[in-house]
Amino acid sequence: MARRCLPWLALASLPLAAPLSALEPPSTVARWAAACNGCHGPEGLGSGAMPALRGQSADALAAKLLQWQNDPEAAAATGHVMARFAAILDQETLQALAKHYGTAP
Amino acid sequence: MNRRRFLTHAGAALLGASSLSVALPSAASSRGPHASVLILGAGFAGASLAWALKRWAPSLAVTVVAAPERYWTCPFSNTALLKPADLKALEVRYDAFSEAGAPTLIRARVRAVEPEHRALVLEDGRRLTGDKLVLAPGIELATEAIDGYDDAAAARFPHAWEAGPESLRLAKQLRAVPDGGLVVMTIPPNPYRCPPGPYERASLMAWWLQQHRPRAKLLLLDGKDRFTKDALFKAAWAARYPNLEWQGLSDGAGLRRVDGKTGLIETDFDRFSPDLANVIPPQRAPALLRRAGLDGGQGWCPIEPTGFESPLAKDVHILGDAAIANPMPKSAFAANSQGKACAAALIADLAGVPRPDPVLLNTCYSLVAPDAGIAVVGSYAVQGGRLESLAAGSGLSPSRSALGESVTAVRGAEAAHARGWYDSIRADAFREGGPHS
Repeated sequence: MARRCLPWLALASLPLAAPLSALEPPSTVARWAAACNGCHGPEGLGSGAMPALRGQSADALAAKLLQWQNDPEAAAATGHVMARFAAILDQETLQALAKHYGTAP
Repeated sequence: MNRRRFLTHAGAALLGASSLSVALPSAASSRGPHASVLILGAGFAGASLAWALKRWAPSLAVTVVAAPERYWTCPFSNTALLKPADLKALEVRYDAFSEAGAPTLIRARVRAVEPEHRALVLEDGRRLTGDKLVLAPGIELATEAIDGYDDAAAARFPHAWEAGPESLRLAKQLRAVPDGGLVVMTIPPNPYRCPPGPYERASLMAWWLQQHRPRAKLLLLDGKDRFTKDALFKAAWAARYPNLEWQGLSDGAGLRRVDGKTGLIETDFDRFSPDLANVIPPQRAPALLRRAGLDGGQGWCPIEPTGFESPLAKDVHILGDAAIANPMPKSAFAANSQGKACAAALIADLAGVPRPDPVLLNTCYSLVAPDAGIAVVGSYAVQGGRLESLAAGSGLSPSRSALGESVTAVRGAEAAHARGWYDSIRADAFREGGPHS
């Protein structure tokens, strides 16, 4: 009995005890959003000429990504960077990202 | 007790607690009820990793060990050549690391890496371990690879390839160049930190000379024949900078020898006595990692691409410039992207579940003039166990000829994007604002 209790006693004395089972890898959209934030800043809030994603409507974000996906050449002049990244997003991730940053209609 | 000492003690306490936990039996995992990640380096890779871990797994004990020296970001440090006062804003202060819930930051020099124990031995004798050890120490300059490079050469030829006082030294020497003078930049063969960096620097130096020393000349002596964004850079130079000349390896521009006493720069075909020589040495992974055998004798450290784990040491991961992550370049954005991808992989490993596919991207902006920028974009995926470029997700800014009359507006927009990019990635990696915000 004493032996079985020992780990629990030790745990109680630790400041940061948290079960490893609580660890869960971030979702696909969380990992993609983290990548987006590299250019668009923490939480996608933007800085200077780098546009904010947070606060745009989810529909507008999805439409813009789809436009780049469908016509990357048209984006060459101003949006070539985003046209490349949009090109490798699958539809599920694209929509999930738009919802992640965007506001509901 | 000052803040640094407090953090030092807090770090030691956390690590002590986590080592204790490793010894505890647990139903969850043989690693114990909670886990620790120990990170060497607080540049774009190490800092991004630390914050991503705290975000996605707040219960993890995350400790970052970084050198006590001041740190300025390499991105945007070339602009300090134009306005030295701008360097100040590039210094990272790590203020956010003292907030609640932040990773623990220990400013200390590291004497040794012990991969088999996932341990760092600090210069003061402390030995830290983690369930995972991540090494993101950046680069080391391989100056002895240049014949004749001695203390006199180091004093005479600034490299400015670590930003900070070196950037100011180069800016000062540029201002001492007489009109009609000769400036030389020697550029190493691949691989090295920031592939487009020398060419952005050359563009901004040529711009400055054009304004202030209109009869001076800038000669680039390159140890290779092709370089990133070369068509875009060369077109910009042809249009803007008649004072700039580029010579590649096939032109005989390979660096043979330097002489710090006489100022001589010797290439395969020629000898120069410039008024200023910016000698950018070849580079490699820092000695700490090479002494631990983590480079496998290659100078840079191999990794497997799903979690950037060393194939030479289990539970030791290597990120950023020190790693061989081809085709990803040694860039700040790549380091930031690798930090986040590695965070997801570490959490998966510690939880005992499969690693998710890494999201690995790169965006590099370069200024060809203060108001004109170009960009290269890359996307990467693991295919057949190797990291590969995704063609659809990679590309360059459009060429001058494709843009026609809109070239000024488009390059101007990309220069503005470059400044926004800097502030964003600075805030993302270090949780503090940049100069343009």
